[in-house]
Amino acid sequence: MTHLRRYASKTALLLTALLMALSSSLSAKGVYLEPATFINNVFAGQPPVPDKLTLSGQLAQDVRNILEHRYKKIRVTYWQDAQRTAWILEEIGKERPITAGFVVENNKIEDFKVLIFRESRGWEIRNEFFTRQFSGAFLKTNSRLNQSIDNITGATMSVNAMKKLSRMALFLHNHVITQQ
Amino acid sequence: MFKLHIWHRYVGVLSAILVIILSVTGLFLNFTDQLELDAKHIANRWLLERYRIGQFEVTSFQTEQHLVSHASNYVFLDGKYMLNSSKSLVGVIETDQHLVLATQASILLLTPAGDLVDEISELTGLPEAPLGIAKDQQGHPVLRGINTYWKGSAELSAWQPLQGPHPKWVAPITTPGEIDSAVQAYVRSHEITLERMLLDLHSGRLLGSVGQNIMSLAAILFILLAISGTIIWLRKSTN
Repeated sequence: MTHLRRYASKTALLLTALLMALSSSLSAKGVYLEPATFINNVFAGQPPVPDKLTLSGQLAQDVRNILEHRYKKIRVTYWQDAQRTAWILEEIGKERPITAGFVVENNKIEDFKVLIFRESRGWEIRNEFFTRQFSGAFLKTNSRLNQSIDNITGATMSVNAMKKLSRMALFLHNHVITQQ
Repeated sequence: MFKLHIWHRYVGVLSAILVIILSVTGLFLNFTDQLELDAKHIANRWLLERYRIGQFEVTSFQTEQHLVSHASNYVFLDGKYMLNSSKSLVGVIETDQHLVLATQASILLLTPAGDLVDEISELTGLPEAPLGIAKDQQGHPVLRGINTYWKGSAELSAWQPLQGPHPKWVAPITTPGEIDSAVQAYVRSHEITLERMLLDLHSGRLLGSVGQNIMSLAAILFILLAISGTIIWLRKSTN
């Protein structure tokens, strides 16, 4: 009888875990955080007027080197308050673009969030255990991140896309600050 | 014991075809990434009919040099795929430097060749979601809002309320036959991935509720087979 109870409770636990995994994967696609809310949160409800940065010439080539392809837009929007900038960027994980928000201050990533996820797999990158790895990251002289980012099994392409976007955000931040 | 044996055999034969379908589709699905099943699409008419994919509504706008069309989640330039947009088009104009597409939520600024320059939404400087678009006499874009008309700068980075009469709003045209056919063919062949079809075959959903019921029955049969097989084996080993 005791054995039966033990098995029953284990089965119930397993079923609960399966249901939780299923429900989380079903809600994996979608808008996690509206870009407007992200920008509002970053600037405590008073976002600055957005600026535009045109990716042309050497800047476009540098971004291409980071992404290993041309960025989908020629003009990038950003928000700047002194030495702090916020970027909403998009990169394809496998098939569809992932929208991510980055906040850079003093050439280091202050915050990173996955805002919109459209792929069918790889949604685990939204979790804090992944995004917090980028906190404090900065670019080395070869435009690589100074710290390693752990991969997530089954989400390699999404992870790589976010690593590239973080480098792009840091690179564009450095460009904007040094141009001023 | 004899009866159970016979019953077990018949159920086994009956289940065989379903076991093969489940195993083959399961094997393929296990290698979705390697086989890039989610990047391949089906174009077979019979299969697409199972998904009730027929004709799509195509909305087209004519500019001085181009015909821009929208269907499902895709935008086409002269019948060729240009970019994805889940929002419908409300108008298209051509300025000296750009092709300007107004969607229900944003403005898409493109080069004449169709490369995306920028997407301007309310977050990135658009005064409000567009209901229509037009060009004024100077060739500047004019946006139709709910109560206000907005005149945009050449780069669409600044907008100011338009005073006086508004220009004529761009209206959709009937999509020419050959463009409609090209757009329909593209959209139809990009709606359903091979992965989705295999998943639906695996679960039986490809044949609707009948298919689902068959697969559910198959699952019950497999359970019964496992039980009857174990009983037969136990009886034999006891004897």
